[in-house]
Amino acid sequence: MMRISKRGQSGEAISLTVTLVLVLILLVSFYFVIKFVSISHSAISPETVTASTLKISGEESLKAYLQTPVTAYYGGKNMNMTMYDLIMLTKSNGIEKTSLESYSQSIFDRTYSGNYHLSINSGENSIIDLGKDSPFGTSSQLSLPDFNLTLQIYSATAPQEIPGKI
Amino acid sequence: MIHGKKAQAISKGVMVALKILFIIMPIILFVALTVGSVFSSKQDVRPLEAVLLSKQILDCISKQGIINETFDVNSCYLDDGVSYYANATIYSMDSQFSKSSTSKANTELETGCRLGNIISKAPSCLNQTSYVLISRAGRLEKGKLEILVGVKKYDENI
Repeated sequence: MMRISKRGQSGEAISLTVTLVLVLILLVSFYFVIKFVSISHSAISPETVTASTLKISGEESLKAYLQTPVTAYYGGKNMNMTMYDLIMLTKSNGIEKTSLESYSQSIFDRTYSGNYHLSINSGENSIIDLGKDSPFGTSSQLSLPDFNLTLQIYSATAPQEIPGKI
Repeated sequence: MIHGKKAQAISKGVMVALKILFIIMPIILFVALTVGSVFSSKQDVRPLEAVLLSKQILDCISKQGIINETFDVNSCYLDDGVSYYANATIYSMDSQFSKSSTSKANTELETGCRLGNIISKAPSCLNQTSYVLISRAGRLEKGKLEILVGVKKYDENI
């Protein structure tokens, strides 16, 4: 009787220890998984900050770009108009494309030192496409009823986060 | 005999209680450690503060991309002259005109932003450039806006 009881007790103790160890392993692994996930999600990466800044900057630039006063030769005379009007003219007849490209290039070259990609589209048709596309750029879009503007700015230039020591 | 059975029942009860305790204790410990580590971890939120401040200044001085030549960044946010630094400069592309507006003098933050990582305890700074139109004497000039903001290091925001 005594032998059986001792075996039973030691068996129970072993199963208890095994359960405890398994629970501990499980909890420790859960702890590290949660810790890793929380760290990777909470960290504010410089890329996120730069992308947000570039997006804000791009949107503001596009708003100003559309309102920029320009002089274009149309209907046999020089006419004062906004960049928006010039885009609409280019969209309708295509004659003003060179003038539109020239004005746009002058504006964005001087603002972003050539590190941008500007595309203006009307549906599937491209009105103008300036600069090069970059995988490291951040795009800002402005959708209007007549056309869409997309300005991609490369993070290597203009708005940059200046890293600070913690 | 009765005493023996009672003792056996008690010892079984103790064993069950111990088993439950052994399983519950690590769970409590796990929850405490996990929640504690999440809530006690310090995060540097200054870059986000800088983005928000920069956007606030941009929205304040620029109306749909047009900036009046008399703009002033001091009217854009509540500045204690210690925690934040902001500077906005416009350069005309059509003339030699340029204008700069700086928040209440905080030379320490300004120097920190200009020098960057060279100094220890440097503030978190952000530089943003946009194309804008400058409203000057009733006409619009093409221009460039540069905003530089700095957020000081504090224990509260890190």
